[in-house]
Amino acid sequence: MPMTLHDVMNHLSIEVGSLAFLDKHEVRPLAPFDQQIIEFCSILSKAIMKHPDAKLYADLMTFAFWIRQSSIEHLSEGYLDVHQRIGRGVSFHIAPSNVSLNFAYSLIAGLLSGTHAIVRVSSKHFPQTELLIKLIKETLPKSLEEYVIIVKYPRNKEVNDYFSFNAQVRIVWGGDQTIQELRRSPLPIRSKDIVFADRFSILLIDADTYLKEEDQLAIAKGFYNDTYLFDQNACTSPRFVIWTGQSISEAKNKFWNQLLKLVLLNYQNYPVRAVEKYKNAALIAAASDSSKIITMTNWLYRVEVQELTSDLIEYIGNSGFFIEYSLQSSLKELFPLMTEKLQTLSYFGLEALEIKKELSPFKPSGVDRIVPLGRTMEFDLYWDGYDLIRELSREISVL
Amino acid sequence: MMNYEEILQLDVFQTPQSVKEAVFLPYLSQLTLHHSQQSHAYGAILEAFNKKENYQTISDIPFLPVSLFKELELKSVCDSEVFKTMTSSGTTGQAVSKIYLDKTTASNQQRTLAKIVSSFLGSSRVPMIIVDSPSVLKDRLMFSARGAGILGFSMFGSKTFYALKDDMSLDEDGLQSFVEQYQNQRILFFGFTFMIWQHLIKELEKLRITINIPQGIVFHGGGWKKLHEERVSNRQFKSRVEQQLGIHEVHDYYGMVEQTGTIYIECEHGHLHCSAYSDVIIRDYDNFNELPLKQTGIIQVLSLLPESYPGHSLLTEDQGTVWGVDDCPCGRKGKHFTIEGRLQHAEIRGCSDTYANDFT
Repeated sequence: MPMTLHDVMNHLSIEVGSLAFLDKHEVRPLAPFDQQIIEFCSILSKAIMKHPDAKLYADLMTFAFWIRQSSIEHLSEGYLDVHQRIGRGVSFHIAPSNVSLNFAYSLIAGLLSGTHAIVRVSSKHFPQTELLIKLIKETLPKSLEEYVIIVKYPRNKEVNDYFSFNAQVRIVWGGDQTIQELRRSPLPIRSKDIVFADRFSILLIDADTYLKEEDQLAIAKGFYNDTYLFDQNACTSPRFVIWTGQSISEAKNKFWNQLLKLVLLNYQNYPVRAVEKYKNAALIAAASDSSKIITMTNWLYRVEVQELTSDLIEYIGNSGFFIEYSLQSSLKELFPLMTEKLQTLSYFGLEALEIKKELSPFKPSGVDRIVPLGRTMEFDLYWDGYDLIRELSREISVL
Repeated sequence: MMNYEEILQLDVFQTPQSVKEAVFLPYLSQLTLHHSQQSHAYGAILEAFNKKENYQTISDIPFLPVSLFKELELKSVCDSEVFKTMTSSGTTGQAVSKIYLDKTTASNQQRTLAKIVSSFLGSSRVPMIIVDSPSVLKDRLMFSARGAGILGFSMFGSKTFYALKDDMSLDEDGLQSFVEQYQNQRILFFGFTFMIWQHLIKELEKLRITINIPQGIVFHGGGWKKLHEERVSNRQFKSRVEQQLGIHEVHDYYGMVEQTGTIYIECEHGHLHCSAYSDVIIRDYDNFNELPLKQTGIIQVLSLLPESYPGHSLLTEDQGTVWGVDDCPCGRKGKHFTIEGRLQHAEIRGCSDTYANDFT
């Protein structure tokens, strides 16, 4: 039997909201895109934008922008039919500790779906996390206290047990190991897991369009944000760069040198990561005979391969480690990478719908998103193959 | 090109760097070629990095990251010639290095180690106290760098005594009677730095036992991580050893299972020394270029020994500084250097496996 709320309270700190409803069994879900929630988002958005410190954190400003009224209303346009739906009771979210504001996106997805959202944030200190929690606390109306709940607690299976026992949906961000750990806590029979496992992503770029592009620096910046910003370790970060077109070697030269300039200026490399990249490159070389390693200082490693094979996925690296391939004839050559683990296909110089059309006949197990270069980190209510609003709500069917 | 028999005749610590490098360049080039022909993986790696030939100085000899031996079975002999497989220490679940030795490499390791150590110890065998428990050798699962180090050094002992019991407690009665038995003789102490500190020196202090072995000599290795956590410096370590054992000759050494035999021993002035059979190069964090003297970087180790596996040139995960060449005040020739610990582990951002690592 899981602990009681009273026992659990001894193991955690409630940063925002109230858990009393769990004890009283007063779960009262809302409809998706409830007006109260949209208003709260709007007030919070304004509070962030007004706060003098918020501008220090680009990710916080991006979040504020995403939850402003017009943005949420725009999002809701994709869900015109959901007002008949009902949130699935309580959603319990385990947010990753190494990405400062991921918890907030997960929270908003839970709220917009109409659930009571209980979000565990990591105890790791990020100033923007603390600032956002403070602003949520200040703007949260009393009527939403039992919907917006942010908790902190050290790794503790019994607390996980408690929240899992009370959840209709459990959302676990970040990593196979974390998911395994949480799966040890049983969910009620009718409840479900939404898990974001270890994934990888790729970039598809057309050399000729790139060479014609006037603002190549903007492309480098976009790609830098897609990769180095999170040590190339987010599931959305491209680990493979796939070239199409004619003048590939000229384009490569420009593309990587542009990127390297930004990296040298902005990125903090660590010796241990340099050694790690070196080892990774050697492992690929040992496994495939025709690869070629290009080290552009220890900040940027490229491994050119002559063939894409699915075992290359085992060698993906981070902190500036790219496996490169030039398409010979068609996207069919990408097929070995299209496993379940492939999440985002970002692109430049091609048409998203064309890519989708060309891939569809293969019925790939992977690729959940096709997004333009520079925007891989943009959060969307469709994430990692899940339509979060529908996953977190239900509909009463009528025959 | 000299063969290894001839190289072993070089004076272990009196061969000037220029002479040494003239011997090393052709020898290491030849070893590199040999491994690239015998080990498919090694050859493919050199090919991919475009480092197959054209070595102008020993600094051009390609190096493998030492951790590669944890991931790949790298050998340059066929399976039937593998005489012994050594593994690095590692706690359960951690990957260990696997090093494949044939008879020639294993025997050269022993002879080379003998040359290096006897230059400090003297050429005759002496009574030896191993600061470890005998079970470290009995338990095959534990047979690893610690066991290998002990076995390697045991050839310098005329009689050996294990100072720790199976539960790692100090056998103080046994220790005292062993020391009494060989009074006024040179006695060799050998063990991991942390073992000597934790289970011998601190124990003797606790028991208020002091022993006086003015002819004694201590060799210890394995790194300073735990002692530095306790804020114990090399100087303090030496003075506490002197207080409890009356020994002034205390030598740290640097070595690794991937290059067994060619260890680096600390001299009277606190610097580690390259022997005539191995060398170090300090490399820049940013591009792996060789750094000038007195700058700290990643340590690369070169050894002439590895024939049965491609481990003659390795990039370690340690950082260090070369202070000079042929000019240590102790009189030994070649490079002398210090180690500044392991490369710092950096936390990686991103969304993978974060909860699991949160509090570990």
